[in-house]
Amino acid sequence: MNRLGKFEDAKFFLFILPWMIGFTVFFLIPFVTAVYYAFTDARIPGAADLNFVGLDNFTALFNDRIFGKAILNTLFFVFVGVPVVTCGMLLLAMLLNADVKGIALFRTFYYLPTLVPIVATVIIWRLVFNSEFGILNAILGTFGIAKISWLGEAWSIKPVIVLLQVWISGSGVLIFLAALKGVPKHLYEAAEIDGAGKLRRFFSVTLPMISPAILFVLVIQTMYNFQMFTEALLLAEGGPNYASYTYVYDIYKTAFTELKYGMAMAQSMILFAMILVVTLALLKSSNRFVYYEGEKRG
Amino acid sequence: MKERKGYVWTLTTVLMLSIVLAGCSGNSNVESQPNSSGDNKPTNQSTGEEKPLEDVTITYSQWGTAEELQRTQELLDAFMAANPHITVKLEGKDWGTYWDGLTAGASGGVLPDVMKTSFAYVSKYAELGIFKDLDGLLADHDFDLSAIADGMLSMHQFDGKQVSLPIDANVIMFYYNKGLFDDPATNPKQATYPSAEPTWEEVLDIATKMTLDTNDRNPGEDGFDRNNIKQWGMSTVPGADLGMFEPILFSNDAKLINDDGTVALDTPEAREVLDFFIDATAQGINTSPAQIEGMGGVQNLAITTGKVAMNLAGSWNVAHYTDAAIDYGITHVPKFKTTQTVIQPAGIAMSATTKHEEAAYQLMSWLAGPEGQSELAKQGFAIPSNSQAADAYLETAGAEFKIFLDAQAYGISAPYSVKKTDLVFTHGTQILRDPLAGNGDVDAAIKDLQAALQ
Amino acid sequence: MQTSRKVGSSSIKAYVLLTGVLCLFIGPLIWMLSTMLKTKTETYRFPPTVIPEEITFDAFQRLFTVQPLMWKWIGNSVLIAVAVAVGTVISSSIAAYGFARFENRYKNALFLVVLTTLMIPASVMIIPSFVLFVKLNWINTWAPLIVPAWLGGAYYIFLFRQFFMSIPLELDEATFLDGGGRWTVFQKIIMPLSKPVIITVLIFSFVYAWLDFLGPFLYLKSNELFTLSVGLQLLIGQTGQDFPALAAGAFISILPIAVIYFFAQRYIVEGVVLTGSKG
Repeated sequence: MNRLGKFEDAKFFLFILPWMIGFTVFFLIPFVTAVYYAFTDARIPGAADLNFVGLDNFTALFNDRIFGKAILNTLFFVFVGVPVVTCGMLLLAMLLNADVKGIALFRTFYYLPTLVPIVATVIIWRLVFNSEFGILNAILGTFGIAKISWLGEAWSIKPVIVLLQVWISGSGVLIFLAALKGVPKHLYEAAEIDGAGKLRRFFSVTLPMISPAILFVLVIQTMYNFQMFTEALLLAEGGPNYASYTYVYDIYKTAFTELKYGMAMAQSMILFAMILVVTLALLKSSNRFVYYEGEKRG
Repeated sequence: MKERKGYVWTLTTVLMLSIVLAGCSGNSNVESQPNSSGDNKPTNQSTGEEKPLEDVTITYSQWGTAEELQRTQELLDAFMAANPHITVKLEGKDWGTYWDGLTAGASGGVLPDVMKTSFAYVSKYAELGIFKDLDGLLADHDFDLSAIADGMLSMHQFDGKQVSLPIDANVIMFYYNKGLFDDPATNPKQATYPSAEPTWEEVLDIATKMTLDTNDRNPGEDGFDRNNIKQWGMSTVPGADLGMFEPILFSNDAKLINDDGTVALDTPEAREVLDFFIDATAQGINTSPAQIEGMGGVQNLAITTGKVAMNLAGSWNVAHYTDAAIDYGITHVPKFKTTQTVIQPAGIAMSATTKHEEAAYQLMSWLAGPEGQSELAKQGFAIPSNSQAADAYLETAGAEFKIFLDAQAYGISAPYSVKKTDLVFTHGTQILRDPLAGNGDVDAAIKDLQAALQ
Repeated sequence: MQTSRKVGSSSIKAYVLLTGVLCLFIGPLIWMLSTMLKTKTETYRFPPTVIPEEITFDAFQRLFTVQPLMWKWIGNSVLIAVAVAVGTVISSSIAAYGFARFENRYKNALFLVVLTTLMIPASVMIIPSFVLFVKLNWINTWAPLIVPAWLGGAYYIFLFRQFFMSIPLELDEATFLDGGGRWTVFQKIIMPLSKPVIITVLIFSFVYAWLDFLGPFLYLKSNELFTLSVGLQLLIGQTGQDFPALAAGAFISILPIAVIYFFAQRYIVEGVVLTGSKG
């Protein structure tokens, strides 16, 4: 082993060099330039004529009603959408954990929508939710329900997007499925002997045992919801009346439609901070509900 | 063998690093990238003046539907036939992301050499400095600007400079699907075509008769089922395109925006107009935004679905109607007090950073000049902005399109400030679309819009 | 459901539930198939027909007439996705080896940085990165889509590292005794033993690149350079009323991934599960 001693550190850096370059070029530099631009009045990215405006962008955002709406929309997706989608994933995973013949085939098809490119997903959803000729309103019509403009009403557009996320939630379902399979059978048996019913077994055995997976999915979903863009752009262009104007869509519009790149970068900074706070809070609170094997619970 | 494998890895790593370095060194190595845009290719010509006939390729970008792009390609083919040394590549975009794309292209230094402009966006993007000031070029080449009406020219100027050349004299008109009127199955009440200069009262009456539920009942009749309408009388969604709606306001002495940049929709005259459409929508005679969304999202194309009898649309939309193979008729925009329309001339501008100024100018002067305009006129779909092509237009367009020229007399050149562009395209659709269709509080929405415009 | 006992009635209940929910998941895809086989007029009918009265493939013909670039976009998407996948495997495995096998005082701190970047969603960086790509003259090239993949992705480094750590150190040491160095170990011992994770990362990064929208949408400006996703977005804007053609476009964009999925399902599932097992 001692021949490895020489230049070991240099070799280590040589191995991780690609990542270090990537990290510097595609993360650090954009981050630093974004901070820089956030304090300028640059109209377009790379603009030559820009002035430092101090905190003006941030104070302007404070009074910007549309920005306020974008924040509220995104918070809806994070605090309502994420729990709903995560619960949906868990239910689906439990369903797909059924020990019946042919279950593998079911699993295969359940995952398929997750692999549909998002633009195609939007096309399909526009066809399904089409208020005039869509299949959904046709089915509801047979129950005497009048046509609903799913994508055109402020009350329905956000739930439709949450539903869309459930449709493409296959990855989370797989993670839960793997976690469910990892729960030792004997724990259920022990609980059953103790006289625990189905519900009780779920809450006192299943949930604690898969809590690391829950935490993981929650974190991933939270990030996804913070950065939602394509759904907003293509389903309803952020409308109606800004009801689906998500945070990242607002950044995009601010930068490329309103020609305020500096302000868009200020928005990006705030987004970083929000993601950081929410993720840290999630991780922090996790030691209260996440159970790791081998760990003693208080 | 073992050695060789080692080399493969080393080579890959070197290759990888060289890609990174190539990237980091920027400009000079763009050529080594798998796909650099044509604009970045170094060319041998220094100014283009020494060897004016050297082969050049330029890009022309425009928004439009598939049909519109096809028409443009035909024009470009004619241009290339006349100028064999210039190859023009057409970049077709959709209206929804066209302008955002120009912003991104402008910052990335990859603007098309020539690009289509809308009267409504000239100020906004000229202010950004992405358009070349054409005054010098036009003077050098003795371009005959007098052949284009001043009103249209001024809509394509910024700070008194011509930054864009109008290429068509689009007007807003009113269309009806004759097929629906002619077929007793879709017109059981035998409604007549609207007259040439109809009033909204007349149109509403016709539209009522043309609106059918699944039992062929009209609005207002007993048992009319609002939830099961199979055919609508008309489709005008005021909030979806306030620019197109403007002439209707004008016809009742109302307007969109005051000179001081405040929203002008709260006057009694404006409210009378708005209430008319809110009421028609409530009765099911006029399509709601959701219904238009269901039919593909474009109100001007509603009559092509065979589900709507009449709609407001631009003169450019006849291309779509022809391709959809519907039999249609045209009238002036219906009036409240006076017949009005707006002229919405599209134009073409040159990128301020084009490397092929001469070729770009050739294309622009051809498209806006007598030759290109005559070709455009011969297609029979767009009204040339250049008066030197008027004869060609009258010759080919035929009697049914003469109305477009007549409409010019009712046309108001309504210039767009940056604020008006934001009102119509950025915030208006979001905030007003539903309230102006009876879904929401109009007064509150107008206040909201006012606030959004600061 | 968690118990392994199969009671007849409960398994019937499971089938009913499974089939019911499956219909909700597959329904939209069937609706897409139904729409793309219809004529344009039949899509403007209410109540709609599920099985087209007249089955026609005209939509595909219209699609390729309206957008002759469709084939090009498919090709572009494949090229980009392959370049991304190959680059990801090479660069991430090399970096992961560094993190898995070296012992020094920088390693843990740097690996923490890797894990932190995992927490920053990629799309959040896309608009801030725009300036960088402007300065590099990368706008309207594939470079912003491909080059980053050749410089290691945090998530894939993590996957590789986990796998490498499960390979016994004794194998490394035997090679060192034979006079081999770090690089020899990496390419002769580690990589050949890592085929499963290589395939997983290959497929996973390919699929991810194929599904990507925001990056190509922002950085690519010439239609000829578009990926299929961005091309479809353009199509929505250019022929929004032609529902069958749009459905056909969606179908074409799903097809390649669906084929890969049905043949290599195991690796995709593994990739997903490996992420989750980190906990």
